[in-house]
Amino acid sequence: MSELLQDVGLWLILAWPLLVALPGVYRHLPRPWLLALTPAAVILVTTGAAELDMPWVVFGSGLMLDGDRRWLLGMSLLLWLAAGRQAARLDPAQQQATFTLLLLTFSGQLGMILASEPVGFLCFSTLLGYGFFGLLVHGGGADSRRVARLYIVVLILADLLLFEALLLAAYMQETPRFDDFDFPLQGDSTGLYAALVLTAFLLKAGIWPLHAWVTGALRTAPPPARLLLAGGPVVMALLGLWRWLPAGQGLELAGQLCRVLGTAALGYALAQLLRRPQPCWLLPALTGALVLGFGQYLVDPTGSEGWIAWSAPLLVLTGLLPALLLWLQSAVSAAGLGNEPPWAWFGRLQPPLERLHQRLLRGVVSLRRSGSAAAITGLALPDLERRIARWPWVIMALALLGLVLGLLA
Amino acid sequence: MNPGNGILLSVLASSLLPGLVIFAIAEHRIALRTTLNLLGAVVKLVLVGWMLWGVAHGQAYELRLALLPGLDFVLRAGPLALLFVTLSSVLWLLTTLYAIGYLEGSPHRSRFFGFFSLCVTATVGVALAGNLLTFLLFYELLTLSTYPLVVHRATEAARRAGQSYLVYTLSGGVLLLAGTVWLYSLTGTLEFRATGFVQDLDASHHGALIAIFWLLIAGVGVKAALFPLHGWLPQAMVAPAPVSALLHAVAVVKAGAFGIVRIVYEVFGVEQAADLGVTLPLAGLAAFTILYGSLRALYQDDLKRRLAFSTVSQVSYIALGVAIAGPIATIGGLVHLVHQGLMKITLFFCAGNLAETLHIHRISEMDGVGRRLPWTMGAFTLAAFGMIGLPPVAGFVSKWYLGLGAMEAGQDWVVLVLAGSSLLNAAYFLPILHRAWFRAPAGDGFAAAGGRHETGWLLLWPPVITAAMSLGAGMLAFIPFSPLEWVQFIGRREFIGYE
Repeated sequence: MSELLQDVGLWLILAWPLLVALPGVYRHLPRPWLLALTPAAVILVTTGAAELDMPWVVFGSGLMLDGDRRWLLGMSLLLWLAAGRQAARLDPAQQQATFTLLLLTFSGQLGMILASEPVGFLCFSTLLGYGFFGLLVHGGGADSRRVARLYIVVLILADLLLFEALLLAAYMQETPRFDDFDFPLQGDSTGLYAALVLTAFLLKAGIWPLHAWVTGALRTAPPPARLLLAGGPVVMALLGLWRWLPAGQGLELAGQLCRVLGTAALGYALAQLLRRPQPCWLLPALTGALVLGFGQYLVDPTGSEGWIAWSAPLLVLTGLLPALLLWLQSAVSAAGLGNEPPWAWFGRLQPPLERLHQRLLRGVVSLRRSGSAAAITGLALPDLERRIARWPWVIMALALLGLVLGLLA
Repeated sequence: MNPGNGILLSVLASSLLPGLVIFAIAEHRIALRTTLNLLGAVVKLVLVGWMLWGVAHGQAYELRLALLPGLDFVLRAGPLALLFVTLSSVLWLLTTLYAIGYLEGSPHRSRFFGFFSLCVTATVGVALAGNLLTFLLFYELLTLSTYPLVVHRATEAARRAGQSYLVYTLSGGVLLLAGTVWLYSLTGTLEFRATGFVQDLDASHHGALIAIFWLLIAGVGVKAALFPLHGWLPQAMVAPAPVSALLHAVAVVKAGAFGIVRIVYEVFGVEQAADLGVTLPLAGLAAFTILYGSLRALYQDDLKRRLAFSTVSQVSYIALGVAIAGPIATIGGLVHLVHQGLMKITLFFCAGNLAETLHIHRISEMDGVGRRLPWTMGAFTLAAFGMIGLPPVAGFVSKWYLGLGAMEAGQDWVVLVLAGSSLLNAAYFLPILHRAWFRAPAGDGFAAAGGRHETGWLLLWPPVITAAMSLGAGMLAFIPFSPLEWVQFIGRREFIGYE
């Protein structure tokens, strides 16, 4: 494929879904949800690697397609197909707005994948974030709207932190432009930069203990949003960590923090999975595992080279697996194969684990009243979630403060 | 006077003459009035384009007429002046189109458009003024020509708002006059210079200079709506939407903000101002106004009042950028002069469409309005995102340069102010968008669209165009003749030693 065609193709990957998102265009196209992904599919199939510099866009943007990006682009297309199919089943009154929001989200996701510099990444991240917020609100019930409120708080805080991080990076690089921007950063503020980036993307990825919006959205959001959640906001946030915090910059402390948070998130999600085997806990578990791995990579870049080479397929797996489970769940119930989903065997482990859990707690806590046992076991995790959902600002502000102070220290 | 200087008079005349003729036109001569309005606006735009090209290629334009012994009437088109002139001229054309649609069938249109043209003439004069005296003359003409527009509806509320406007702005004018006379008595000149004209005064005059600085800042701060001189602006929201657009984006508050730039850079000089210790308090005042305006905006249910308090906040970004006194922050402040104008005029046009098409004035009445007016609310959404500072809309570029400039100048606290302001902007704009797009309309919804368009095209296209310009100014910030590139050109050429 000629270079010009490649450049046009890269542009079209982003611009075409945005154009199709306009109701006036969408209404006049046959099967618009399939047409929207055509440029991305064509480029994926026909182009090995491509790069497009756009020095006059924003602060010097660029788009790039390489091996890792091809994995993610493929994931994005699969998710879009599934979500688009779900949306096509909605009643016509809801369909058009859902498609517009889906296409905005899709375009944002593709832009984040293809962006070759941080400002472009941030621009598309904003598009994805607000598009996804729209998906949570539109056609969702009261619970979904509650989750959306939590999500918008996360989004605004995270975007602000990323803006501050970019300012710091530009200040350290002594350039307001990003077309000649390169890591490693030079300056005394690298630690603060890492703290801001880490906090922002971990907020966006919904890592424990700030995961309430992720699990909430997986339970309550409209079906297309549920399908996109893992591969969209969550995996793209993890991708942001990879892109904005390259190893070898003396970020061992950030790596150790990632390891701690990743381990805690993984442990928490696994415990929840054992107690309540629902697909919504799979995503926090996978997120925790990836953050743990990323922390290891920051602490020991040379020892983790093999692992990091697999980061793109692992991200793809994280994006696709929860969507696959949700799709299976809906397929099983649609086919009338009974209410028992394929992973129901997992639930049969629950009663003995629950008994073990309570026994362990009884061993630790001295109880005056027998009724308190349930209360203490309930201190467990659902309560924590409810509290986080009720006081998102306070909890998140404290978490942010803790993270930033921790890294500054 | 060099041969090209007739262009400076022509730029003024292109709005002044149509304005004077329009006063004499009978109310029913709609076609003639419209032709004159549009002809003047287009001619002005062409002349400004010509000057832009000339200045970019090193041409100088200056017109000097003796007024009093030792005091000249001076017009000068430098890069800084042209930044403001271009903004006013472009937005004047769009506002004129919008006003023609908005005021269709309403009385006293000749009076309205006559003063409208005078107002733009005064604004262009403020921009092109080459000394403080000329600045003062046009500044007062601006006050007088805007008053009839504020009271245009002749209601009790409009009269009260007009009174308040006059009290505030004429008081500001008196302070500006006092400062100007005092300054002239010390320096013997009022000529704007790239590095200011007060450096030659010895240290014994520092006290007087500080007092003069605050007199001048108070004088222009009234129109720039700096706290606590902002009270007239929310009250003036009773005026028709095109007047609100004119006040907030094209003329009045911009003239105030532009005055602050002139005073800090070309009257005092940024180094002298810093030596006098006045820049930090000015930055503090601007920062306070930014947060105060945003906080007040949070509690307004009236859409135009919320937008007015938002202006109080946003215009102070310009003052903040200037007061930080570093090259990059100044670029942030100056470019926000243009960016805020584009975004805010979009918001006011949209507010006007809501009022004119659906009689919606309050945010609490906006449930589901996005379904009825998708293009209008699309434009509103884009402009609101820009105000919050979301990339890649124009507001992001302004905040980027302000933040970076503050860090470069060692004023890290400004970054926190910007972050706080962005949070507050999100808090008062996002609920509006949520209502408009995601809530069901109350009752039986809005009446179906009357025709092919959601509203008249004269009301629809101006906000769509300005919203697209807001996006373009952010996305294409580095193309030649973009606002950012022009401001960087100012920085390189005029006063801040920016490379």
